[in-house]
Amino acid sequence: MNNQNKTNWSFWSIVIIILIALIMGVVLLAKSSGNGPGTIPPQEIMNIQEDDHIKGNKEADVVIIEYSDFQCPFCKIYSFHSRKIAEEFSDEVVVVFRHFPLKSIHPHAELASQATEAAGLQGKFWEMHDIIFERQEEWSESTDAFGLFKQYAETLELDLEKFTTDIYSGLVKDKVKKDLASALEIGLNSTPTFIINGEQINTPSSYDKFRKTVQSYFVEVE
Amino acid sequence: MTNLEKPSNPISSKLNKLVYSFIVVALVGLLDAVFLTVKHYTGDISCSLITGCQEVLSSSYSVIFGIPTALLGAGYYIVILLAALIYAEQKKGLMLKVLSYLPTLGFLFSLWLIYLMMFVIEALCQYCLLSAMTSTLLFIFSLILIKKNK
Repeated sequence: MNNQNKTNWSFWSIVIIILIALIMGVVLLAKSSGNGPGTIPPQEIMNIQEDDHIKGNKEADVVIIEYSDFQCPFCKIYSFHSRKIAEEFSDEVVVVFRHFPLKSIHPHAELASQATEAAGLQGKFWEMHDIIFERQEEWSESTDAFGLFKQYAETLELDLEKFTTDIYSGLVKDKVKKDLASALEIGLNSTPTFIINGEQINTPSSYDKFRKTVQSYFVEVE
Repeated sequence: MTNLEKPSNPISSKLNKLVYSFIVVALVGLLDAVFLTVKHYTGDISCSLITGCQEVLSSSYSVIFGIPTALLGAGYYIVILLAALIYAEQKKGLMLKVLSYLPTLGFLFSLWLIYLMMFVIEALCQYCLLSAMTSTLLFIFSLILIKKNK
């Protein structure tokens, strides 16, 4: 009969080693998961489409595609980052905006996308894009997001009647759906997602890191 | 020869199985809670289709008395895990008491968190639901254990 109160050191060392290994594994997993690079997307989706909204130099070698959701707070922050990138490197890069409304968690995201597209039909996509992001808190929480979008359209001096018709038009809805479908096709599941020259990048945690990541592609191209 | 291999009567072999179940489920719960704790501290910089964890982990309920709820969970699972391991290895009766009664607290706390997620934060986080499942399982095991010891 063995002594029941005697500590079995080999048992406990094995237990502790296994526990530490498992916990470290999970910590690493938690740190890396979420928005890691995925597979290389099909070329046709990576090419700039005729109906894409772009900023910067269309002929630039560095193509940044931004998949974004107007109701996502992180997309708001990164929209300012990508705007700064497009301004700072206006010759070297082109920033392409694509809609990825996460409808299941953001009820007004799709309508917000449609509002920007409707404004786009009157040549003010980016103006509406900016105002919708800037006032995200206001319309996200509102029960009448549409009414607020109309107010923004008024601020931008859009033809309100046309805007009201266009926002629910097939043309506008199809454009948003097309972007969404392309995001799902390449397996994206979070926003914002940035794809630079066909490579999905880990979303950098600050503007400086974002800037550095973009610049690393300059070297590659040269 | 270790206690784990000791030939035993059918009742204590059933008890051993129950203790092993505690170990497995508490381990799953612990790893899940560690994952959530890291997520709480690092914070995602994205909105994800897959989970509502962002909303849950950044809500005001994710911290209790300055301690992240996920970390409290990790502490809870580690106590259960150690109690089950100590019992498996040394058959200390006190550990059976811990395994019998502590999971009730864990279960009640978990019910409260589920309520918060569903009706207050209104976002469901899969990893939090997994933790609710493990704490419910531990609670069921504890009921079986209490019944056996009567």
